[in-house]
Amino acid sequence: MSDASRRRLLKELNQLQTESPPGIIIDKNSPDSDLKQWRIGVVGAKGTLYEGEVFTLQFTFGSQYPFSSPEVMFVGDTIPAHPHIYSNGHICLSILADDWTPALSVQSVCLSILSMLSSAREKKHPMDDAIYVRTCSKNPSKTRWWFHDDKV
Amino acid sequence: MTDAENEIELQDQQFKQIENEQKMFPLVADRLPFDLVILDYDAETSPDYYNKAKELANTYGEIRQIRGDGNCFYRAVFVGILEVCMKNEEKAKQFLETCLGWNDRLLKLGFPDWTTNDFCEVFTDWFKKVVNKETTSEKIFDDLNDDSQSNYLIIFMRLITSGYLKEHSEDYAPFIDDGRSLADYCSTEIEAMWKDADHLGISGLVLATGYNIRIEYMDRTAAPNGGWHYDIPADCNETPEISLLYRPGHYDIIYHK
Repeated sequence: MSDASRRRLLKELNQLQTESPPGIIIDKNSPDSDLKQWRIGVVGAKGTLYEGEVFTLQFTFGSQYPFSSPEVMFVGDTIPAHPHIYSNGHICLSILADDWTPALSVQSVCLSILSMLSSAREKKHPMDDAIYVRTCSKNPSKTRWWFHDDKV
Repeated sequence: MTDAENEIELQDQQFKQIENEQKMFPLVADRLPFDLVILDYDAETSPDYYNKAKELANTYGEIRQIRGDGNCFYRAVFVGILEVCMKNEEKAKQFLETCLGWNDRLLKLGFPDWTTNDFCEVFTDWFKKVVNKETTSEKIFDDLNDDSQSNYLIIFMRLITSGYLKEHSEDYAPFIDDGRSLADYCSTEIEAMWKDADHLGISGLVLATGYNIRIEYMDRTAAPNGGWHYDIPADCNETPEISLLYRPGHYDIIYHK
């Protein structure tokens, strides 16, 4: 981790711990000392299919963060069933791949994922879940995503 | 593996190879004699480029090569501005004012405040040291060649380019094809790192910084007006202080004799 990335991550962590927006829970002990990997809880918003459900996101930062996107996936026992989330936790979201810009942050990624959950009309994994989970790389950023529909 | 996966794997390897080759060059090289450009071309197999390089060598004495990583235009212009500022305190102060002013201009345009403030702060703190002579030329060029430090300098150039285009959206939006909005275009082409600058990026950066540039073309067909060089903005009265050499897909800085 470069000094510049570390400085930025510390600043983001500090901001999230002091004023985290509704629906985002940051465990004070979560990031390891080198700040490379964080776990963040997200809570399904009121009035949505996931209301009150808590899921865990894992962020892994490379040395070029925030200029390269972090690797972000759901981990733990409960992976949300959602048309853009595979049962292994991989998320098909354009800002985590081609549409990443350094103006995004951990907080804005969490908010995008929450909004993606909120707009779901049906709790189910993508149609190609079985084959994707069997054949994909462990690292979701190695996946060449095919973005069908950003509205779901 | 399927054919499609094989192809992706192969493409990945090719990208990796190109990336590794590029990483052998410094981000910002030292100033070297312009004659090096002539040596890049063979008089017999590429006489046009060879002759053009010889002709340019009458006007330009030195070249500073910039790594071809998609940031070269932004990096070349920034280093050009920096060199002007290192020699001229008045201009350095003026440029600092311009940069400080951009923080509010970006926020007014709706750039996300937290990250934007952070990028502006890192950039202006770094540049203040140049203005106040609290750093050495050696340290400045070390920083320019340090990946993570220089990323922060480049992103600032990209953000103000995007900002300028958005401030003048009615002038620029008509140039964007394939039905994208100016905001979409800016976020995927300008604000994202390692994406080459096209004519909008060029115009935006020049007008956002207030530094005119001249681009010398090795190949007339690449120049927008069919000429050998192009000043930006086109109506600037004096010869710009910063000159770049354009070879297909790439910019380096060149210096008058």
